[in-house]
Amino acid sequence: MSPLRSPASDRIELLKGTLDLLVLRTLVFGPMHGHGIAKAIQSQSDDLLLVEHGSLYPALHRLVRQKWLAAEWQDTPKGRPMKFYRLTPAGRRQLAAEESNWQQLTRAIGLVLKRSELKSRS
Amino acid sequence: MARRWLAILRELFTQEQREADVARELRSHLDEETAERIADGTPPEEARFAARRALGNPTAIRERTRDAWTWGRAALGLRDLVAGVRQDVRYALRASRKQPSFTAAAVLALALGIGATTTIYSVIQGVLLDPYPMYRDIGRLIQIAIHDQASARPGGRGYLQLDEFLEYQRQATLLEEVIGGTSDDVLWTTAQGTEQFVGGLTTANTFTFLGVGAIVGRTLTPADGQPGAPPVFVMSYKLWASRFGLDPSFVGRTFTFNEVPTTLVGVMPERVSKLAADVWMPVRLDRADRRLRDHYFRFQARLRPAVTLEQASAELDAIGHRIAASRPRDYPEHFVVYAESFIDSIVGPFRKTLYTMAAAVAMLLLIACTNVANMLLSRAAGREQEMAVRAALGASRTRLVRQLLVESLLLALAGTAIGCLFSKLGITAIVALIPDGLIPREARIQLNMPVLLFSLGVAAVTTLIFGLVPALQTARRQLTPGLRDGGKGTGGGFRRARLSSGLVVAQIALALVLLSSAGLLMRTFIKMQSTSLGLDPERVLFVRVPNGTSLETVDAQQQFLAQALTRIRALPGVEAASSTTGFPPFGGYPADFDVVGASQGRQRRAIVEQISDGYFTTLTMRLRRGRDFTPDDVGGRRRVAIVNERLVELHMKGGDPIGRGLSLTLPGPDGPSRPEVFEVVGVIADVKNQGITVPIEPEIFLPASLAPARYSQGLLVKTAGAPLAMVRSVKNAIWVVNRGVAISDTASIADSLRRIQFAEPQLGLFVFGAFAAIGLLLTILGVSSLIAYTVARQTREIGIRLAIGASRADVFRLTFGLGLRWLVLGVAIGLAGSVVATRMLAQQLWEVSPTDPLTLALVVTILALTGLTASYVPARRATRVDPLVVLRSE
Repeated sequence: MSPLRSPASDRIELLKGTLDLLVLRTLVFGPMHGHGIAKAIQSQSDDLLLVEHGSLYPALHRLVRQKWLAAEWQDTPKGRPMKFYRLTPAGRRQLAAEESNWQQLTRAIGLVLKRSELKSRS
Repeated sequence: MARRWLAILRELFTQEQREADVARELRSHLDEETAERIADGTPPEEARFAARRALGNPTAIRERTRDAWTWGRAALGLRDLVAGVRQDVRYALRASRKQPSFTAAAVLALALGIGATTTIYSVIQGVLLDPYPMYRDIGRLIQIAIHDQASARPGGRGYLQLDEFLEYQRQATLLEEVIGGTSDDVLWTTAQGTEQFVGGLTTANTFTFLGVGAIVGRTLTPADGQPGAPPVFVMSYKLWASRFGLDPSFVGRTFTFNEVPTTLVGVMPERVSKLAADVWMPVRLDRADRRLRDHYFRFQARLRPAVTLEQASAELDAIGHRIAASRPRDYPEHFVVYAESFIDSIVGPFRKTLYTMAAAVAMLLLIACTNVANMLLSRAAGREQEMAVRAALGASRTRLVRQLLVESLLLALAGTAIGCLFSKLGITAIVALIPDGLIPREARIQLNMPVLLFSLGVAAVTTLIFGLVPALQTARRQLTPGLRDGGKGTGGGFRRARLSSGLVVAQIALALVLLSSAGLLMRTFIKMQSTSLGLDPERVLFVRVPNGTSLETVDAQQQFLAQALTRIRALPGVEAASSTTGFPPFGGYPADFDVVGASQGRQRRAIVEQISDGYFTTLTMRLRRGRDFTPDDVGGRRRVAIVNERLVELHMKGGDPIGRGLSLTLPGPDGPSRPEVFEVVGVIADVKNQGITVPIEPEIFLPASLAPARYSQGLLVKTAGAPLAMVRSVKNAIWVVNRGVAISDTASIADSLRRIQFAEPQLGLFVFGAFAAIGLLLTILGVSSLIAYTVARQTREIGIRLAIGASRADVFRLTFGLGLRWLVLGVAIGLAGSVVATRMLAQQLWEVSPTDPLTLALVVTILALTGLTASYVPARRATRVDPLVVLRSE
C-alpha cells in the first residue's frame, strides 16, 4: 500500500486497491465518463497522482462487475456518446467502508512512523 | 450456487459484446483527449499521438479489462474454448449452406439411422427397462410356476386353487407379502337392463402392495377385505372414460353387481390394468366360500430383502411337494415349482426378439455412419487447400480437427432432429403391429425424455464414429503439397483410397446380413401362412359361454347347448354351428389313455376335446373313416369317441381302428372317476391342434355332454358373410333360450389366428424388412457415389490414360472393376457374417434353417444386381471423359 516514487516524474503511482477507492470517491458527486474520472483524480490531487489510463479501465470494469458501479452509454452535449459510470447504493456502502479502512490504516501507519522516528532519534 | 453458474454462462456468452464495448469506450476516450489537446492549441496530428501515448497500449488495456472478467486460468481456457467453438459453429453453418445437396444427403442418411435406432430404443425403454413405472418395487415381484417336467414347453401353472393358495401363503417364509387375483364376469343390473364387465377379484392388499393410489376417491385397502366390510369396488380408467364420461360424481354411488349392491370408492390411474379388468373388488380368501371354489387365483408375491430367486424357488418347491402329497390329482407326476420374476415372465419371450432387432438397428446405424464418413472423406480431399491455408495462418492441428468435429456434430444433431420425426412414425407403426399379450398391457412405447436423451447420446457417438477419422485424416495430410498443387494433387491413383473402399465394403457386408435376416423371416412368414391347417378358419365365429350361475349342472348345460344350437342353426346366414371345449386350432387338455387289446405299459397321451355333433362340418374337417357324432350320441351321453389319424398312426397300427376301445379317465365333478371304455366310431384327417408351428398331437374327440360342468363351452358358428356381423343375432338367439347367460369373448377364429400366430412374425418381418431396405438403399447410394467421386477425382488420370492410348473399354473396366471388387469382397464377408449372425434369429424362424441356401442365394443376387447397376452408371460416365478437355484445364 505504500506509494511509489517513479523516477521519471514526480507523480506517484497507485496500486489497485487505492485506485478503486479514489474512483468511488470521485463519483460521489455524480456520474462521469472514464476520461472525466481520470482528469478529476489527476486534478484533485494537484497533479500528484498519476493515473495511467490503462489501469483505469480495468478498474472501472472490475467495479462494475462487483456491482458497485453501474454504467451506461449516454449522449454528451458535444454530440459524441460516452459511457457514464455512477455509484450504486452498494457502491456507496463500499465507499464508506473503504474510507474508514483507509483512515484507520493511515492513522496506524502514521503512529508507527512517528514512534520509529522517535526511536531512531533517541 | 446455480445462480453463480448462470451468471458465468451469461458472461461467457456476452463476452464479445463486452469487448466491442470496451473498444468503443477506448476510442471515445481517445477522441475526447485529442479534442482537449487540440483545444489547447496542439496541432491535430500531434494531439492524437499524445493522446494515444497518454492512454497507453490499447491492446494491453483490453486484455487487462478482459482479465477483470475472468475467474482464473481454467475459466480462461473454457472461455477461449467456447469462443472457438462458437466460431466453428458459425463457420460450419456457412459451409453447409454453400453445399446444400451434400448436407441434405448426409443429414438424411443420419436421420434414417438415428431415427431407426431411437425407435428400437423406445421399445426397449417402454417394454424392458421401465414398463411399470407406476408400481412400487416391481423388480422383486415374483410369481409361482408349477412346471410339469414331462412337458417340453417351459413355464408352468401359475394359477392356484383357493386352498392351495392359502397353503402356499401360510407356509412360505421367504415372501414378504402375497397378493392374488382372478377374473370373474360381473353383471351390472339396472332398471334399463344388464351390462357385463370384466371383473378382477383381488386380495384387498393388492393396490397397497403395488403402491398405486386412486386418481379419484380412494383405492382398495386391506380393511375392505375384512369380514363384515361393506362391498366396495374401484373402477379402471378405461371404463370410467368410455362408459362414465370421466364424471367424478359416480364415485360414492352404489351399483348392483351380481345381485350385490356394491359402492364405487375410487377410480384407478390410466395405466393400471391388473387382470385386464374393468372393475376390481376385494376378495377375502375364505375356504368356506363356495363361490370361490372353481376359481383359480394368480399367486404373486414380493421377495423379502436379500432373498434370491433361487432360495424362494427352493422353498416353494418343497412346499409344492408337500401339498402334492395331499392332493395328487392336481399335480403332474414329476414336477418342480419355481419362482419366476414377474417381469421376466411377461417380457421374457419378447426380450430375445427385441435384442435381435437392436442388433439389426445397430448394423443399420453403422451403415449410415460409414456412408456419411465416406461422404466426409470425399469432401475432405477437396478441402486440402482450405486446410493448408488455415494451418499456414496458425491453426493448430487440434484446432482443425475440432472444427471438423464440430461440423460433424452439427450434421449429427440435424440428423437426430429429423430422425426423431421419423421415429415418431416408426413408433406408431410398431405399436400398431405389436400383438396383444406380447408385451405388458401397461407398457407405453413413446418418445419420452429417456428416449430423447438416448438419441442425443447416439448423435454424439455417431459423430465420433463417422467424424473422427475423416477429421484426423484431413489434418494429417501433408499440408504444403496441398497449397502448391492447387489443391487437387495426383490423389494417389485409383487404388490408394483404401479407407473409403474399406468403408464401402463394410457397408455391403452389413447390408447383406440385414437382407439375409429379412429374407429368412419372410420365408418363415410365407411358410406359416401357406401351411395347411386341416380346417377352414374363415367365416367362423366363436362365442364363449362361461359357466355362469344358471348352468351349474351338466344336464342344464347340455340342455342349454342343444337348444341354443338349434336356434342358431335356424338363423339366416348361418351355415353350421356346433360347440367345443377347445379353441381351434388350439385347445383340449392332455390326458393319458390306453388302447384296449394293445400292449400295456406304454405311455399314451392325447389331447381330449368335447364337441357337439356338426363340429367337423362347421370347421370343414375331413372325415376319413367311420362317422361323425349324432345328436343321439351327444344327448344320450354315449361312450363313443372320434380320433385323428395321428393317434391311429402312433397307437393303433394295423387293422381297422373303427370299433376298437379306448380306456380313458374323465375328470368328474369332484375328481377323476373310474376309467371308462369308449368305442372309436370315426377317424378324421389330421388337423393342427397345438397351433400352426407345433406338430400335431394325437387327439380324441368326445361328445359334449361328457364335459364336466365347470368347463366353459365355446360355440362355433359358420357364417355365410362376415362372422362378426352375426354376433348380435347369435347373442339374441342364446338369450332367448336363457336370459341369464353371460357371453364373454366373441371372436372370429381367422382373426384370432392371425393375431396369435402371425402377428409376431409380421412384426419381425416389418422391422427387419424396413431396416434391410433402408440399409440396401444407403449402401447402393454409397457405392454409386463413391465410384462417381473417385472418377471425378481421377479425371486427370483418366485423361492421361486415354491420351496415351488406353481405350474407353479399358477405362470402363477400371472404374467398373472398382465396384465389382468391392461387391465381391463385401458379399464374401457378408455371407460369413450372415452365417454367424442369423443364428441369433433361430428363435423367430420356423422350418427355415438360419443358413437356408435359397434365401442366401436370392439375397446375394439382389445385392449383386443392385450393386452392379450402381457401379455401371458412373463407370459409363467415366468413359465419356474427353482427354483434351482434361489436360487443357491444368
